[in-house]
Amino acid sequence: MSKTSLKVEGLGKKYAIKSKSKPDSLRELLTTPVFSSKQNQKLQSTDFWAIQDINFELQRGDTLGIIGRNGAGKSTLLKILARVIHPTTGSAMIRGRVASLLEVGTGFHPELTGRENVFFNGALLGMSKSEIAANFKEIVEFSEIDKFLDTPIKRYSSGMRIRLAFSVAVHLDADIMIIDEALSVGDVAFRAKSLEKMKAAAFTGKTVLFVTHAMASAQELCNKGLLLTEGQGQNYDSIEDAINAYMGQTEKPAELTWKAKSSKRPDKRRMVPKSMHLEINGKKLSDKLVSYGESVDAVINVAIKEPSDKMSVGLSLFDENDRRIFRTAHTDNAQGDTIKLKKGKNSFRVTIPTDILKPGTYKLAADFDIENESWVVRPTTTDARVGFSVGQPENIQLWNPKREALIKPILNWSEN
Amino acid sequence: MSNSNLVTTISAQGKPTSVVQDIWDYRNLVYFFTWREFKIRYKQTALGMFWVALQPLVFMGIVQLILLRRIGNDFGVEGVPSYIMVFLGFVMWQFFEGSFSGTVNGFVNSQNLYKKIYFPKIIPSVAFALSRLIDLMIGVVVLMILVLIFGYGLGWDGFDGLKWQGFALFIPVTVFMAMAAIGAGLLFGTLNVRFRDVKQVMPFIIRMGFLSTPIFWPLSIMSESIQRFLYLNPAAAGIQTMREAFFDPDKIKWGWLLMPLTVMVVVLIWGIWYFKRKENSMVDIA
Repeated sequence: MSKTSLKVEGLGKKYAIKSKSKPDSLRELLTTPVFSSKQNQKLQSTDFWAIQDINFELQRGDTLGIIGRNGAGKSTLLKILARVIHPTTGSAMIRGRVASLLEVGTGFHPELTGRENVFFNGALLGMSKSEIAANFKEIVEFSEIDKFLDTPIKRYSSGMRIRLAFSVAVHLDADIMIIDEALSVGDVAFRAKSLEKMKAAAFTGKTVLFVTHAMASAQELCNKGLLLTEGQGQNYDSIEDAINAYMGQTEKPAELTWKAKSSKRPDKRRMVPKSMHLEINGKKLSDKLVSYGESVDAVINVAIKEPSDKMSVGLSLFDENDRRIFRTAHTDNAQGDTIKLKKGKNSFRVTIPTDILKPGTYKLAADFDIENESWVVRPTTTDARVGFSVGQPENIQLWNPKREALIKPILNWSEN
Repeated sequence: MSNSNLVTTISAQGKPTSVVQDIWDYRNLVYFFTWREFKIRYKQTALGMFWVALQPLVFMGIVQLILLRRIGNDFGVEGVPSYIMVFLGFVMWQFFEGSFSGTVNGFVNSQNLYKKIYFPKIIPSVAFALSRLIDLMIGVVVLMILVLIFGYGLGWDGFDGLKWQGFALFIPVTVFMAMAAIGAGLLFGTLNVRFRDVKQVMPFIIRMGFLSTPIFWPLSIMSESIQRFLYLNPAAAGIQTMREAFFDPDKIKWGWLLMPLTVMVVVLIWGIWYFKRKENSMVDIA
């Protein structure tokens, strides 16, 4: 069974990007008419490598998670492997039939009925007429739109359209699946259902390439990792290593210092945020992957000129979709008394339990408030955040990370 | 259903696949594109497919009533009224023109598809031509009905029936016209991806073609040297040959057909060559 199903060698894609250069002289600026061909000549062409020298090899049944920041070249790589765009250098050998789910509903025509669109879309994805016919009933059932099958899809709601498109896509049968998770849009329940279906496919010995921003999904679905950084690829034999490396370079650092800015607003001089970082067991977080159940401490330092009871230091936790899970402040303390603020440097430690969190990426934002007066730093300020990632729990049965909930506490269940 | 022996190689310096191979490998998709194109065209119309027959009929009536009184209506076949010739000419022109402009606009119009899913970019063009072929066949059926009612039924003076040569030549002439249209379409269409100027001049090109092709006027009103020159146009040669084949096969100018055939082959090879050279970069430019 261990047969190479995908081999990529030295793959690269170059684009020529044109940028307007500034006129070299004032005379040139003045003598260049607004719409002249001369202006076009001043366009400078520079080379831009979207991806460069990508190499990897996958055996049958391997699932590769492709991770990286926006613009790192993930989509370009997938599109080359899906044969949508042509590489500038290198080659790829693909054994077996490829199903690329880069976008759902491609080729859907508003004037055609649901039934007609299923057939055309299926054909476009590479299914034969008989294959579509054989899967038709299942596709319709999955999409839950059987009543409207013979209505033109321009009369569908957008949700219905997406469900139908997705149903066709997930019923593709192929040896290699190329999936961009960005495509999972639509209603939450349906999205979960679709992802389940894709995962089921991945576990039946298919080779899967999976692009995602959700580390939890990558960790759950993939065994190997490819981390893309500005077009350069780094291969990892385990997805965890790739995630760790990625977390090391994400925008949200594990440590943060506020620049000393002299503000004209007096309130901002009364309370000056200094720094924030994360610790585990008293040690600074080195890689940002935290094991499930391990507690993370956030340490917040702030300098205060004139201590007052109205001042408070808060901390908010956001999930990867920027939904706020909770906000806490030093004034509500589980240990009883509120910590008195003192003049000069104040340091706070907040312990965040991770056993209530789902596996995934989280962001912590500190806020500083003077009640009834003003926010020194608002809890919504997105550039003042630190990040960490919670890993998969090991010893819990029937764990479904896609459970529809913000948090996931493990509670005491007993027979009554 | 899955075929793990299939090996696809993507290579920067790969040899391009042949057009014939592309079409054969994706024949399933050609079918679905054709079917979709034809369906979409008459969706939400009250008359539906009747439009296919209605347009040439109306055109035929207007030309018969207004134009042919002035420019002469001798199509050179005794007993066959000029409106039948105009009808045949018009449905064949529509097929030619539709295949041509469909191919030209195809690369830009189907970009939202090939930017997301791979298929050989010639597939929509072939499908366009095929969907127009359905129109042509409906047109020919209407022509048969006209001949049946007016020719055999009412009896034209000197009309001695449809000739088998017409049916025999129908497929080769149609294929010939389609190839010329697709060849020219590939050339203009590929250029259109980079320079949308092509789109601007298309209506003009088509109007000129319509006027200079013997559709609503008999070729015989021209001198022989001009007739020979007009035969360079595959549409003109095809239309004229079909008229002669259906009603007076003795008049088919076999020798003259070498010229448009050569034009067709040159245009087709040139079109395919240029298209293949640019096919891979279309996604980046369109």
